[in-house]
Amino acid sequence: MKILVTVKRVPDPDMKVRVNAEGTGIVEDNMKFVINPFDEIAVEEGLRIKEKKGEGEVVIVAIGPSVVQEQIRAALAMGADRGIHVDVDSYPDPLNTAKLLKAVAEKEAPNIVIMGKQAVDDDYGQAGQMLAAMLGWAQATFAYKVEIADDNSKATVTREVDGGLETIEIDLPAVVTADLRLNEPRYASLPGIMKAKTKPMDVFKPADLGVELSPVLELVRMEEPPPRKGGIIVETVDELLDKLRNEAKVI
Amino acid sequence: MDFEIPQEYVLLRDQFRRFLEKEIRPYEEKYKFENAVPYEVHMEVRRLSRKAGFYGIHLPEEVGGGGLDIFGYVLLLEELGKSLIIHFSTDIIGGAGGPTPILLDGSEEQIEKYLKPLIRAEKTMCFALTEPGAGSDATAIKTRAVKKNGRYVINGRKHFITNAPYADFALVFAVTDPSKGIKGITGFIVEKGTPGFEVGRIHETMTGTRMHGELIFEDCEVGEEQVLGKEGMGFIQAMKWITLGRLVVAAQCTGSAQGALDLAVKWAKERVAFGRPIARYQAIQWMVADSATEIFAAKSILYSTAWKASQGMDVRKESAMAKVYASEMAGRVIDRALQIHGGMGFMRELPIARLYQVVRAARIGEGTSEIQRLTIARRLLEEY
Ligand SMILES: Cc1cc2nc3c(=O)[nH]c(=O)nc-3n(C[C@H](O)[C@H](O)[C@H](O)COP(=O)(O)OP(=O)(O)OC[C@H]3O[C@@H](n4cnc5c(N)ncnc54)[C@H](O)[C@@H]3O)c2cc1C
Repeated sequence: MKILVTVKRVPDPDMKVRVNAEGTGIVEDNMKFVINPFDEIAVEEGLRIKEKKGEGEVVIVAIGPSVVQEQIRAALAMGADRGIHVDVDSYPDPLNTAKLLKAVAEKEAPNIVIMGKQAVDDDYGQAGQMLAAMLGWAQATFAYKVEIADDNSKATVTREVDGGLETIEIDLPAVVTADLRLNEPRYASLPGIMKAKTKPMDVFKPADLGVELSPVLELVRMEEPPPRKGGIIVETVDELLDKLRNEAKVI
Repeated sequence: MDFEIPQEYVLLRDQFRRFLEKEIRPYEEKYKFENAVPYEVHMEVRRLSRKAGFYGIHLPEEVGGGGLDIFGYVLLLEELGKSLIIHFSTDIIGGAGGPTPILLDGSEEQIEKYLKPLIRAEKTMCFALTEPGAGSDATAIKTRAVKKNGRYVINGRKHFITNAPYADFALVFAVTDPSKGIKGITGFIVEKGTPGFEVGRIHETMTGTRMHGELIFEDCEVGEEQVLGKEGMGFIQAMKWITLGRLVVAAQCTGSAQGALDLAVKWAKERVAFGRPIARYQAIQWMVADSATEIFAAKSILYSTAWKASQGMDVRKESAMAKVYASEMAGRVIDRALQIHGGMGFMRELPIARLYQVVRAARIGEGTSEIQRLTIARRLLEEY
């Protein structure tokens, strides 16, 4: 069983993000970067599938400048077997991300690709679906539970949908995107971290993969949300009702 | 010159932080209004941390530890301090009562019988050096161990001993040969239940944890196999261990100060008085600016000392500097953080009031501030 898992480097969601003065991106000085939390869940799922099968390989792929190798190493420290770094200067838009991933998937020929349902930095939530379409593979998004058939031919995936869960069966190979409740990622142990330092990592340029990037999105401007106005403390329930009724007009 | 922290340490620290927030924070919250936490809960937390791979991480892999070097150890301790997890601070990586490097000086049997169960979070020990008549001047201890027919008979009294009330065994320092000065002091492993060994009074302390107590030895007999390492090596073992202990205190104090400052700055930006956030007043700004500067200084001393120690260099002077500076700095910074919070700082909803008490002990244990300065001056005078 070969499992390809994608990880994206994103700003630590627990840190305060500030937009730079030019409005072209965020201030990266003193920022901490982590594996996109949904991708971390994807890595965990990959490891669990391999552990349950008792055989297989978990391959991590990340796209971006050389610093993304930190996130690949972090995934290797959790227990993944090897890494692939697709070396590009900046993070491509979802379509180009999917193109690069398609090339990697064709090269690696995995039984399954597991991705996060979205990256928490730009929140597009498109790459997984695009990748499946380009490969012509089945897809199961927002996964809540994943089970692989003994002969690796099918997967049964329970998905989070509005108001409940939906269970579908898909043919493998397929693309699965992880939702929040799929699992609780493990802690990388010290021995895991040390072992990760010597695990293999291949680096490819888009050209090595036969892909030419053609951006389809242009970032026009980034701005911070307006500051939240301070709250007030009401004296009585009547006052609260009055404000809800006449000021906020919600009841 | 490279001041960047290697990636693997950063990764480990991230994992550690996540573990603290997810698994340990709920315990700290549950007991935040209590002074004392039941012993079984301490053990439960140790087992959790053991499972996650952090308990005993600073001990060699050969004995079941994690093999983390001193620099990594210091980074984790700093992070622990910063988390403001206070009740369980010695249950996460280990403290004097848990996996401790001093037992590495023991025989193979001792490591098997005493150190490994500590690392597995099954047992607790205590380190018993201080006596009513000998604290800073530890060479003045009066507890005697007299050899008779191949066995030792111990008589004496220890006090202020952390974990005394529930330690499964004590590492007790006693004089075996009064004519030899510090080379006449020996460490003994004495198990709970050994006839003649009893826990005396439990001390009521500033923090009220009921974790400190007296140990009483009356004709307590132990065999030669209970000597840690060799006879006459006790004081040297204790001092070697205390040098590392000083770095431990420095790391936790530096982290705690950072944690307190983080809370204070957030509070100052939100709390409004006289129509504006108090962070806009210069009196408050100076407090946070001084605090941040002092934390930076403590951290710089800490990291360079830890790095040197990891390289195997002698850091007796530097670790004394790190300890005295960080422990006194933490006192100042936490005091300011409390002041910035006003009355709220005095309330147990926030960890600052408790931290204020706990950090006070850091200027006393592992050698008082005065003794650190004495150590620094002594080395300094030798150097010129
Ligand atoms: C919370 C806590 C936990 C502890 N845990 C342990 C433990 O687990 N095991 C253990 O063995 N001990 C433990 N101790 C004891 C601790 O190590 C001693 O309290 C400490 O070494 C000081 O000794 P003392 O209390 O006898 O003070 P003293 O030595 O009597 O000192 C009194 C004052 O005189 C000053 N002084 C002494 N000599 C000099 C000098 N030459 N020059 C200038 N000033 C001097 C001291 O700095 C201090 O201000 C603990 C103490 C505390 C508070």
